[in-house]
Amino acid sequence: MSDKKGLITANELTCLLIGIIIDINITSTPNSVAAIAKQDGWISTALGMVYPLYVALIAIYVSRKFPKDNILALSKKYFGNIIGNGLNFLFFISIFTYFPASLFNAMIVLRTYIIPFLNPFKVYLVLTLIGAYTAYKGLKVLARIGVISFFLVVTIMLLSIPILLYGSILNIMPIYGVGAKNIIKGSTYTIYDYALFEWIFMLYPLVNEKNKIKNSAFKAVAFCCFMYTWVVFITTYYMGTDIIKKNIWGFLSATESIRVDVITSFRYIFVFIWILIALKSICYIYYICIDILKNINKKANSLFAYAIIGGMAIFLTKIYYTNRLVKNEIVNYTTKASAIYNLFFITVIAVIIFVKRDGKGEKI
Amino acid sequence: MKKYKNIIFLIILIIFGGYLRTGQEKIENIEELDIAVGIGYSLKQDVDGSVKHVVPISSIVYKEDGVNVNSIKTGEANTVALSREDRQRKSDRKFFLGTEKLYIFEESVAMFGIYVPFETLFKNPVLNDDGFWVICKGKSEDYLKYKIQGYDTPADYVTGMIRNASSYNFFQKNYRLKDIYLMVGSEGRSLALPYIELKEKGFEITGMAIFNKDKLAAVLDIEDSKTMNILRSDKSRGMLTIEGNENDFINYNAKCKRKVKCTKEGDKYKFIIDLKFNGEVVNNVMYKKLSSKVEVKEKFEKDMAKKIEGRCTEFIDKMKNQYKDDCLELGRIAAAKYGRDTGVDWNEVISNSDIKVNVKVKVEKVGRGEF
Repeated sequence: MSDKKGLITANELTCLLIGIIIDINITSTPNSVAAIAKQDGWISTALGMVYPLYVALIAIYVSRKFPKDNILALSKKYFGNIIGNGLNFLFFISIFTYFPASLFNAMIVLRTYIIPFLNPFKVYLVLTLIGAYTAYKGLKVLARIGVISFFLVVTIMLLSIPILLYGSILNIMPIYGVGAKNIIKGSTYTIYDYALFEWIFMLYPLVNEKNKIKNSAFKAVAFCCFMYTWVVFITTYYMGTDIIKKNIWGFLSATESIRVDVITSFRYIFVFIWILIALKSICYIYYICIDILKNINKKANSLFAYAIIGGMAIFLTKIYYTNRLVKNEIVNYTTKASAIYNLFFITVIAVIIFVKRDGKGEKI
Repeated sequence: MKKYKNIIFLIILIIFGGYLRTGQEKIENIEELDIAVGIGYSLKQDVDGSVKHVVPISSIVYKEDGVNVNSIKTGEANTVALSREDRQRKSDRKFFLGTEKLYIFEESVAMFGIYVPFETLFKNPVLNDDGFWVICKGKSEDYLKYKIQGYDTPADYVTGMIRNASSYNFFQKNYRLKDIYLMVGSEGRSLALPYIELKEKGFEITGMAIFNKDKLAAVLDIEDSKTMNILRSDKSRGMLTIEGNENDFINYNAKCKRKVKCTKEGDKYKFIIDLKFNGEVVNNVMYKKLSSKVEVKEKFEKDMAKKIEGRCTEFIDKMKNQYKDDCLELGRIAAAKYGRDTGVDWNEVISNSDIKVNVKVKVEKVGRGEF
């Protein structure tokens, strides 16, 4: 931690945080939200930002008190080695649950739209190997990928602006028509999308400009919130709530409305960009898993650990995530469980810091 | 071990690459593919009363001497998707979807309901959503077989016909498959498609087919289609005319903008459709000194507005009483204002509601002058 080499800048922190949140699953977010919140899905999505915002606020508080210790070190400090490591391992599991899900999400889009001739196992293998290789290269490389994928996401957003020409404002009216209850209920469906912002607790000790952490965390939350809301809004605007339900990847279908004379199908350009974004998420989750294990046991940085994590992910995906419906059911449980655990974990740490009046802030 | 690191890596890579290649189908050359251009769809009733789905597909066969031949291959089966199997049994090439330009559906299919073929198309991720969809009179196979000089397939010709129809007759541009997805399933929306006929001299758009949900409600003739298109689309363009005596007439080419206001009193909906025409006089024998006198111009504008208003009211009466179908998509506007998913049947509601049309006509220019 002491060498300057491993440190990242504040902007890179923003890109990393955006990168972990925005996944290929964003293309089906409109569907899950519109099931309950209907045409007000975009309000639900905007409300969903409460989750990463809360995480960001806690992270800012903790990072002020202990700018050099990440959450794993803190948990060891307060709970002792054994219980602390136990909690850390649970934290690892809660993050690892997103691994098979994102592998599956990437695979199903790829196999539906462009490579129906490859079997799922091959796709998993390629995705995981690339993920392992990138994760092995370290945080600095991930940060650069984050910057690239940030621009890719911005590109997708810009490319989707022309959809405004083809849709109709009638599709999102009446605004606030489904009532507050349904809007809040709909926002719970965005938990999966907004998850993993907890990574910030592992990243803040590695930022070289400590005073900018707050700034970049808020920037990341704001951008993700904007991006999700935009995607849900534009999809609803183009299709209306009745058709969103019929699609599986609503946003991908909405982007097909764009017609460019030279290109027969815009679909492949979009799917190509989405592959890179999906790959990036897999790399990130891979890295986080290894990073936590490394903290629990120093030996976990070996190639063996990479193989175990990757093999486990492929195995679980292959055995349990056999199709989209099964995946949705499993993810429903795991997402809720891991979100609750993560929130509990960070809140407890923050409360202990507050009660004990520990840390740097007190001395100044 | 370190010494051979690269070699080991290379060997692993080759094995891995080889593994990825296993079990793949061979990808055919383009000359050996059946590239579908137009897809037809008919129903055939057997002697025993069962219905057979007939799907003829027109594809271009690329030959070495540069002459491309339009070949028709028909699949016949109990369901739409099964016809693929039947077609492959009769075909020498691999069937390839993804570049279709035209879907020609027969009138009888539309009466039966387009939901099933539509669902089949929607499921397919490689399908070209930009293809046009038309309803035809008679057998769809005849349309795909018809020979037109200078065109590889008739599907190319009909595609161009539909694409350019929007410059006159107030036709819209949204007859593509992806627009139809949106029209069929959404609340308060209804489907209207161009209706083509094969006449002695070739193809012709002779009207519009309007749908009640997924079933054909009526086929409108070209005059009614024009009126419906004016009332249905937000922006359209076409030509209107007033005819007096034998040689007295005036033609007016205009862009039309539609705005709809919706109010609700109790259970009854009230719609006010504002139409704004803005355009030029193309030829004029009827109104003398139209370009120089303000009074004449105003008189023409008033006459024209009255004429259009009469025409629209007539059509709306017909729609409410005869077709009983919300082909103006007014339900969509009401749903956007008063809430969705209330379980109302918009076709019924619109048939019982009060619809008023206000027309404003403006002459923007009169060309070079008056002869």
